[in-house]
Amino acid sequence: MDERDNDLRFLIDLARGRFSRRDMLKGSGALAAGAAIGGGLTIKQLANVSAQSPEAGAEPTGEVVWALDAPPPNLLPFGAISLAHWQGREFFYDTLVMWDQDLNQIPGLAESWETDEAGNYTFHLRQGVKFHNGNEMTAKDVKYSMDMAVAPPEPGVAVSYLANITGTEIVDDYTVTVNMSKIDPTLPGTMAWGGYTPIVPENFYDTNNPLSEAVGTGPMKLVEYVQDDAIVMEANPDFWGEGIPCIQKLTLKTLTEEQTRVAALRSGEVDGGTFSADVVVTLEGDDSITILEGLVSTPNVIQFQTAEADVPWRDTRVRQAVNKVVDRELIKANVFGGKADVTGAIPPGYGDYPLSPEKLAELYANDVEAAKQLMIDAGYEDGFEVELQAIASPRSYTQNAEIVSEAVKQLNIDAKVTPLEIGTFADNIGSGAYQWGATGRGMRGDPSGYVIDFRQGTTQNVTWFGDGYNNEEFNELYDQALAETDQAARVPMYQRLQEIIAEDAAHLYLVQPYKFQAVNSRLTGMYVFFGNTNPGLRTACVSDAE
Amino acid sequence: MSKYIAQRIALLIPTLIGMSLLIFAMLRLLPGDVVDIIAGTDGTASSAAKEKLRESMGLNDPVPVQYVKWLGNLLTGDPGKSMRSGEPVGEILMRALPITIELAILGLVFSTIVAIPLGVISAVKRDTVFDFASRVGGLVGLSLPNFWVATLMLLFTSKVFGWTPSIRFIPFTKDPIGNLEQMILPSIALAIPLMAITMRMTRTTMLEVLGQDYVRTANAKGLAPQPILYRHALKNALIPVITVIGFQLGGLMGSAAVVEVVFGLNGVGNTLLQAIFNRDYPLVQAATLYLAVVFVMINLVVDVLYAWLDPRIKLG
Repeated sequence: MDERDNDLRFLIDLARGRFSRRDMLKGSGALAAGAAIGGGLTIKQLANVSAQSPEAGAEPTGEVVWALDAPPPNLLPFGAISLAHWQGREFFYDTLVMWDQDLNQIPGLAESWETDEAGNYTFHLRQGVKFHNGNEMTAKDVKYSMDMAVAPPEPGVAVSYLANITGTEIVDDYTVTVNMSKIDPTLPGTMAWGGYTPIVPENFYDTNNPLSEAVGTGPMKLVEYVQDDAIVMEANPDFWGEGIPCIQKLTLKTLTEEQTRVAALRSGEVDGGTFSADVVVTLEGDDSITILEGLVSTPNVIQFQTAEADVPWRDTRVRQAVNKVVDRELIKANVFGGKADVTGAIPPGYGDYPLSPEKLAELYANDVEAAKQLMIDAGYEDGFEVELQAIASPRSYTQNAEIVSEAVKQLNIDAKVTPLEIGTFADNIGSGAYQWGATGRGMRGDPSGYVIDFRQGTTQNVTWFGDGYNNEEFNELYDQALAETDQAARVPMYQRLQEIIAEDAAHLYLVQPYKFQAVNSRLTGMYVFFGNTNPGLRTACVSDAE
Repeated sequence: MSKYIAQRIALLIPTLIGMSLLIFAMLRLLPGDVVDIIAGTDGTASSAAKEKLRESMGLNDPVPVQYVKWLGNLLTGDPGKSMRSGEPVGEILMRALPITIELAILGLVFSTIVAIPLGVISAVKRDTVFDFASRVGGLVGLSLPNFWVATLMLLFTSKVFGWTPSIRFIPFTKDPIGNLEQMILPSIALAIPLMAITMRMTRTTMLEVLGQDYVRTANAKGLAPQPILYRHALKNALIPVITVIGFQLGGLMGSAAVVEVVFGLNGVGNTLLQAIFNRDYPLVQAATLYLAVVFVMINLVVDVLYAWLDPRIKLG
């Protein structure tokens, strides 16, 4: 655990610019497999960080306004959440386990943790951590928070990720045990993900209005929450991480119009935000603006509804044929202008779990003749008609669908693309009311989250696949990987699971687009985070602050 | 007159009931509800818990039952709370209202002080270069959607001057100059299409009035051109213009929405829009009710103004 602590400290120092460039390169070599560098930050940008950041140990200074593209509905700490909600409250709270920029699990409010044979987790808490209200965080706060996370009061909605927790026990002031109903290696990842298990003070729901107030241990304290408008925060001077935060005031302002974000970024009214690929190019060449790009977990996929009886694509050969005619490189080039990576079920950037590009190229190799033969073998050489529903906005999902529709014409398949508003689309996909669907997956706390739907009998599996797809090898390996607490041993298992998905073409994974953020060049140390939230703002600095 | 006004206000009640019924029903035709917004759509939430939440939020009740409940609360002075943040919708609207009112008034003032003189001059100097220029200008202004003008303005000032208005609302009472600095672009964006309408309307009615017998009579009597123009012609020509301006004010209270979104101002329109996107029923209902009341009241004021401008019009 000590070594991990060093990783954390190194990262913090790096972001704060305490290293010269040489130190930095040396430091990165010392880190296991260079884990701390990569992702959104290039060496050039890191060098900028060290050149422009204020002196080490300085008080937090300067103000940053960050544009959100959707309003956080409230600040509720527990229950299922939307991305906007999460982005609205991420700076108030910490979790026991956290992620670094590359999704390595690092100590958060727990300095270390261990599992026993029954799968129960014991967490040893960091001492001397203070909540925003001045009270020290102890085991009773953690117990309260974990209990709330498992059974969130309304309007919180319980999440399946924490379903195996049977209870949390206080061992002593700084030790808690989370009891599990069975061995579950996903808990640390789910915690590190951050959204579901924030640590709040005991009795938070009785002492505060959980919808509009926030009291945590995080780097920023709530000053003002105005629904649909802005969340204003100031630095938490007692934050446990040394040198964090670097900025004194952080405002999250909702600007739903992308062009408004462009104008406000140019004028300096906001210091950064997320932009689409087409718009970000209009910001290039502006000296006051730095463009950041990085992978973010949104694997684009075409899914086949096989629960319905008698549909041609229940036959594995039909799906394999489709896989053999869809050109992922074409999608990458034409839909995303090259700014995307070909993906399996677990997207590139998710630690060691994704399949290598070489393996993917092999699994996705195009072969029209072989595809036609498969259709003949399956008895569908004359093709069939199918409706391909797609998310209408962002446009890219419909464009993916159109390219697939064009490709399957070679197999005489007439796939009619139907673009749908997201609400209707989500309803249809959720209830299984579709034939083929062009969609994308989000972030997951644990790799199992990316492949769970292919396991026979799971919630979505029943509506999406029914008895139309069932691979015994997959089911067994999936269960085995979920009973394995050694994270490293799980890597090859999840890779094999992804190979099975691709070989059976159970779903047609396509590409994973990059995400673009543009920031005012005065903001240093920011990076595009794989998980779609903005943890970079925890450690970012402003260079012109006094 | 007072009887007429009372009648009109009484008419407001069936109007509002009809409208609220319509909004209530249409909102529930939209796919998804606030529970999907709160819980996200990633399939992580247990559907049993979502159902339970719907139950306790009253979303599972039959729509007529929901309507009666809502109406009952409204009549006892409780328009409800935001389903997302739990904030009373009254407070949210009171926060949004000053922004929208200021935008509407400024927009209207800008458009009127430019459009009426332009329209009058255009009519008087008919078929001159000035007239053609302002007519073409009017046509262009009419064809430009205000959100487009607003976006263009923002992009232009940000690119050329490196300046855009503040994105957080500055109340006039706190910092009058800062407030006006912030509101000037959005009000102009709102004013441009209105300007075109008012200008064209003024020109047309002015031309009509100038061709009438009593103007010719006044001319024949030897009255100076100025008093004829201002005292006789303009006052009569303004009647239809006032109607148009009145409607514009009503429209502005709601249709400023797009401009509010573009400038990141949280007025009533923007609030309503976000409430619709997030299926925040109580907030949508309260905001639309407010807009309906404003619209009806403004129409009433316009009608009363009519009678004042033209004594031949009898109310009631």
